Amino acid sequence: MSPVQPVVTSPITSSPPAPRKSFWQYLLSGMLLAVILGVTWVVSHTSPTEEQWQAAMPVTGELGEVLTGRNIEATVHGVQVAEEVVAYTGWAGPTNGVWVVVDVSAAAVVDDNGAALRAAELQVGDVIYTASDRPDFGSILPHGLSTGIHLRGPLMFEVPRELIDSDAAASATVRLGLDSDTRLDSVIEVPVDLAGIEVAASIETDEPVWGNE
Amino acid sequence: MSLWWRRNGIPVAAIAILLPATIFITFSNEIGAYNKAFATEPVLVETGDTVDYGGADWLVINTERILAGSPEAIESELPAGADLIVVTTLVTPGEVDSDGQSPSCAVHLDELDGDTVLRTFSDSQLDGIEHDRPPTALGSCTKEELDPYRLESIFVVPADANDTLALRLEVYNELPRFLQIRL
Repeated sequence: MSPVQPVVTSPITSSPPAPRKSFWQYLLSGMLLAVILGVTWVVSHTSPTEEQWQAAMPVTGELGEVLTGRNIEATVHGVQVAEEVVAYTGWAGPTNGVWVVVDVSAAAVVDDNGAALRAAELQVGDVIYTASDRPDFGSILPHGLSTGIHLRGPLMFEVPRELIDSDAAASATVRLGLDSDTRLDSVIEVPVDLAGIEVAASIETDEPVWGNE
Repeated sequence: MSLWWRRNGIPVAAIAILLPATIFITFSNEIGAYNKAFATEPVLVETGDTVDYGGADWLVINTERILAGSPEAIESELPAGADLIVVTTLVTPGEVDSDGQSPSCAVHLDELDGDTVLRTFSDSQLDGIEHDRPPTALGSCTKEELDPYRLESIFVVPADANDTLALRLEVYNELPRFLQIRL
């Protein structure tokens, strides 16, 4: 039987105890935390929402005013309302409602590669109507835009008759842009008073023309 | 240095280096891929120089500006306040693709202020422009054309466009490089 070996144990080592924090250190930490929470609250409640930072950039003006955005320059010359429209092409648009005919000139500002009026809208109250493609080349909708050279012609919106008589008709808006998705780009906006316009039985529109007056 | 820093210094330093590096690499990769789809790297070419680009030699041999109000402008039925610029380019196809076709191209006109592009005009598609193209010239790059040919591009520009102009020539497979040939 082997002799019993003595058990050797190493002394327990430990780091010196951390100095106790004073009341003022706790108070400072608490205040720092409160400040951080306060700043976080302010930032989270004042930062733009996703809808806001992706919003279109409106360029607003009056009838007859030349309005210039990033790559679109447009003027809304006038607005008419009629029960029937006859385009220069001979197209006549029967409708159960009425036609709002907007006389517009538009051009690209810096680059006309693929530029066209893909956003041509009439907003009345909360309802948005897009320009009708029924007149085809009787309106300026299917034409491309050219840099610095304006295209002038009509846009036709087919809307319910009762809309013209509604309260919202007095504060309608014509909206023009280069992309149907208007976010993050300039949009031309012109307020129009549809309620103050007499509804004609029929109007004839001119051929769209190019040129700078 | 406190005990906390002795214990955590290396991980904190690693995060401080790796996080910005990851953001930078991801961002540069995304921007690089985006830029490759667009003409963002101009190759400047002086007037009269022939340049090999995209499988063909390109040489601008003539530029003509028809001023608004001139008899030629009236004859061409230009829009009011617009000039017509006609650029003729000699295209000499050199390489053909796997289908045996020469390079196609997109042509634009840049109005410049020094090296800064002020406005860009597309090869005109305006309705009603009367312009008689010579029978020996083509209006667009033609893949089927394997022999040298003349490419005649017309641009309708506002009369206030300045005379510092460049032909912008893009071959899709060469993007983001494109030619900017001074006129």
